[in-house]
Amino acid sequence: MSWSDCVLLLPEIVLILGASALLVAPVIGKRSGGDSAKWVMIFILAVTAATLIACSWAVDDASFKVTRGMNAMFALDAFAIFFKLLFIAAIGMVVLLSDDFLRESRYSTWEYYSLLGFALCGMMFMVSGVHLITIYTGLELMSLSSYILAGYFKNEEKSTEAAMKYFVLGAVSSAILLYGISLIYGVCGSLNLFDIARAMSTLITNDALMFGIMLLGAGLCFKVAAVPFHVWTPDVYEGAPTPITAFLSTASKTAAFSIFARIFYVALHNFQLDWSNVLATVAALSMILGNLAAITQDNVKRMLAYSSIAHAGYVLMGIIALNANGIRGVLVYSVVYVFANLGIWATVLMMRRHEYAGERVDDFEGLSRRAPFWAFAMFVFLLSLGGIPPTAGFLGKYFLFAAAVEAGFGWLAIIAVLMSAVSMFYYLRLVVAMYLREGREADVAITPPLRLVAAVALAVTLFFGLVPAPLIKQVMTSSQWIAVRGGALHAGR
Amino acid sequence: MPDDKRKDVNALYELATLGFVFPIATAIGFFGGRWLDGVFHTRPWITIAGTVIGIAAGFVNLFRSTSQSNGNE
Repeated sequence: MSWSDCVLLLPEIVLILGASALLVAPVIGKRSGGDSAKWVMIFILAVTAATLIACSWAVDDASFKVTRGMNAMFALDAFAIFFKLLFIAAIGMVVLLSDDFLRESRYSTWEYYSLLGFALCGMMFMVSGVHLITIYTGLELMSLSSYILAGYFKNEEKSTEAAMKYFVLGAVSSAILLYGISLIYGVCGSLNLFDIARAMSTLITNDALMFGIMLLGAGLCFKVAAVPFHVWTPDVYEGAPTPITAFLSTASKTAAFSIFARIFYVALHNFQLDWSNVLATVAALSMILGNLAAITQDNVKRMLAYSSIAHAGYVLMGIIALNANGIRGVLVYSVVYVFANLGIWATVLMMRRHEYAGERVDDFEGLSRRAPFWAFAMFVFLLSLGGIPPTAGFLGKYFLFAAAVEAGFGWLAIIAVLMSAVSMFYYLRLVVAMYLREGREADVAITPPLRLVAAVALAVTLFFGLVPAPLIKQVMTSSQWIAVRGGALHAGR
Repeated sequence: MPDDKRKDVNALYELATLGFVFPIATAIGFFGGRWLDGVFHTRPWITIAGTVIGIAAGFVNLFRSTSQSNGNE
């Protein structure tokens, strides 16, 4: 590894050193309170973000040059920087969400934050991957940390069961992904995304390649929880500690989308005809099944799990479209989805009941009288997930639907619009509970960290809904390189 | 054999089958689809559909087995 590689990897190096320090800190020093661990973690995140911004000056996307390192296995392009900053922000908010939750438990906070740091490092590493092995390594680092975090409350039966299911299914999906990668390597002779794209431009469809692409797609569909690889989602989301559910449904999912987009736009665009119809079916099934199943849920965590399955379907539309609006839609929707969802999880945590927070729709009854501002915030987050203007959710859905229509998937856009209307039904169930039902007089736990997360999420959701120009401008810059590599701009699609 | 031990052995046997069931389901989907594509001259669509259904069936079976081993069903 050369010095220039070290510069490219500096944010990840800083983060991994910080996360390792968190892991050994309670061993070599005296065990201090959980608050120290939280502040150290926030400091590490701040330093990582600052290092990333400093390193990003080396990137020259205007001329479509990418700063690549490690024998062209790793790229610090504008696309990667965009997602890395989003991941850091999301993890920072998850740290704040975890604060009170961990304080009441008897589990170590140092290891918890350390695992979050490792997961973040995996996400940052894989979004920069331009080689399938780099991507796989990052994905596994994220996944292994996530399995442990899902079962972190090891004396809770639900938590360990969730971790067990997540681990077994995740391990199989990783095996599928690897098998797909090996078949693609066998046919194309390389694991580098650019070399694969070059090899595919001269190939005709053959069974091994098609099978490889499908296995790769199946492994990625598991990570984003798209139908029919979604079965683990409701149980894991329900069983995992609520802040970890927030992590799995936002940062982890967005990370999977980022590599999904990178692989399919950069490496597999020449075979779009083969995979786009399969992915379109998966997207349609995800939207239909996710939204319809969410209607019947009384448990908020399960409802949001099914909702996240439906959202996977929406984002897949941007990948299937393979055009400039499609990749922009993926980026915009990732931002919108992360902030709206984290806002919702902050509000759910305010409704804490025993060890698991605000699990039932009934728990939200009368929230508008107990905490009017936070009930309004929850209302805005739900509108954003439903894609209703003037929230930022509308912007994300506009890009994705426009991309699908532009690419000739009008039928998919129609299903998406219809299913968005269906989704409003179960989102409004929560609104009805908050505003139109008499609730119990139990207090809500509006602690400063939860207040901060919800306030930031509300500000972002409303700001980008009312003033979308800065986000659109940034997204256009960050996605331009990928769109060009995918042929989306040159082909005028 | 004591009942507890028998239960453990059965659970182990159940989990050991997972490694076989998943690839078999996938292979049946892929090769079945390929054969049907040959019969109906629809290549590659039934192969693709068969493979997706095979992988999905393997996943669902895996999930059920994991749930059973956790004593859910």
